[in-house]
Amino acid sequence: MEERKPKLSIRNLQKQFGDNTILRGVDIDVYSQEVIVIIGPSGSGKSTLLRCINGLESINGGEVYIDDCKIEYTPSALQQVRQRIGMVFQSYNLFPHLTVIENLLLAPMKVQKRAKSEVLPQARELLEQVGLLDKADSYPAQLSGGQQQRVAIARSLVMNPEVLLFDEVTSALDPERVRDVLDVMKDLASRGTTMLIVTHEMGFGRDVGDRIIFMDQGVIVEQGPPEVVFGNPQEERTRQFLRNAM
Amino acid sequence: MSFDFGYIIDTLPLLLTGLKMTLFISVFSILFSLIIGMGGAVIRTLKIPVLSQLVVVYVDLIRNTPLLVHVFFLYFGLPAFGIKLSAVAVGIIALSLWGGAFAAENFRGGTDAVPHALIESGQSLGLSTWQIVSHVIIPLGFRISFPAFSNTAVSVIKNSAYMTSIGVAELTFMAVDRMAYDFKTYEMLLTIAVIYLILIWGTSYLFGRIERKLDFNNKTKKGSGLNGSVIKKFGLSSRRTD
Repeated sequence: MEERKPKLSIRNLQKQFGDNTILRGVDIDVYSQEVIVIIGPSGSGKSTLLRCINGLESINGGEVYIDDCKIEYTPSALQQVRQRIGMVFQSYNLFPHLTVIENLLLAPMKVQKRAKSEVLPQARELLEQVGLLDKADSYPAQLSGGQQQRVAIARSLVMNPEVLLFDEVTSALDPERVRDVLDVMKDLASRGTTMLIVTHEMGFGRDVGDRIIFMDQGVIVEQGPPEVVFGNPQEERTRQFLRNAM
Repeated sequence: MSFDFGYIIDTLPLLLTGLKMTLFISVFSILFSLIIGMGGAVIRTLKIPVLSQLVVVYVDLIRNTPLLVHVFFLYFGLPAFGIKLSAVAVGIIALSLWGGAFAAENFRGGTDAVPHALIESGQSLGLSTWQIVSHVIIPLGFRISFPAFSNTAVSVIKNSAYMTSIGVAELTFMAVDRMAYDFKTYEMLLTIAVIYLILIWGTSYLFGRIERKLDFNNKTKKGSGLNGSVIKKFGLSSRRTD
């Protein structure tokens, strides 16, 4: 059998904020179409890990590779990488002065220089996929949090990224809206989207994840298939976390 | 003492030519103030080295010295360096520099208030720094600080009266000029005060209309101004370490 090459390779990633060490050497291989769910207590470095991958934070050590190609942390190189790695944030971060459809069109047209006639049908299709085609001409302030987050997901997808990063995307939503967003993400997973998901939604992680990574204090404590990490965790620290979290 | 209405009617056409000049100088000066102010604000928000410090010096210099001194310097001082400008040109330059310095402060309030999370969201979509500036920071910062800028614009109009001192034939100059001949002092001064008042009210109304047009939040909630709500809604903290 031919050896599968990872889409994204994180090697010995280290990050400090001043004297505060957030990541102490993290290694992850993400394969194409794989859904990785990262769980762990607050302060464990989960979000920082995602932010380092697409260069929103500089790194202090280690490397990140996409398709065997090392990511250089220079502005122009990062611009290229960010077109291949999409990110969805906890606070949605839609552009408030643009309508929903304008939010979707901006980056493909300005960054990828694609024609509006080509992007528009795709953007509308993605809005339909997240169930918000009727909101295309609304402004973000006219939408609920859950709706805004689904638009934010569509905005990332319209760039045709190879990997999508989700940073606690349901944490700012009220419980009733969480389901809508998680359903969209499940749908993406079933379509074979490569995803790295940081979440506190344990049930969702168990359902959707191909692999679960438990992080604590800047290191990976344990990883494996959901039935093992959730059902029969090998590390005491994982057991302790899950007892409190579930 | 009697108030000579007939005299006012007679001199009104003359005053209106002055008003035209006031409008001419003001419109250009407000336009240039806007450009200078936005440029200065973006430079300071992005903390571009050297340029950023130059903007600070410029803003400080202009704001802490009298406008009349700027006008005299440009009109009487520059010829010593071989630069001779017409009075109208000096008027527009002096008012633009003055308005630009205040506008830079106005707009910096706005560009600084653009949540960092939105800048990151632009970065994560692969937008370049300049694309983030032109598509996110400027349009949002402009909307947030527009009410403050409209005050500066009104001040630019009022300060155009200083150009009387170098003989620009604007509204105040026309009135003062007539006073020297006919000694109808309070008729003239009251009349131009009323004309200025109407001009300023008109300008404020116009800026108010633009402000409402720019306010995308108003399209949903009645009376919810952009300033508070946009920052509250989108100003969620972006720097997280977990």
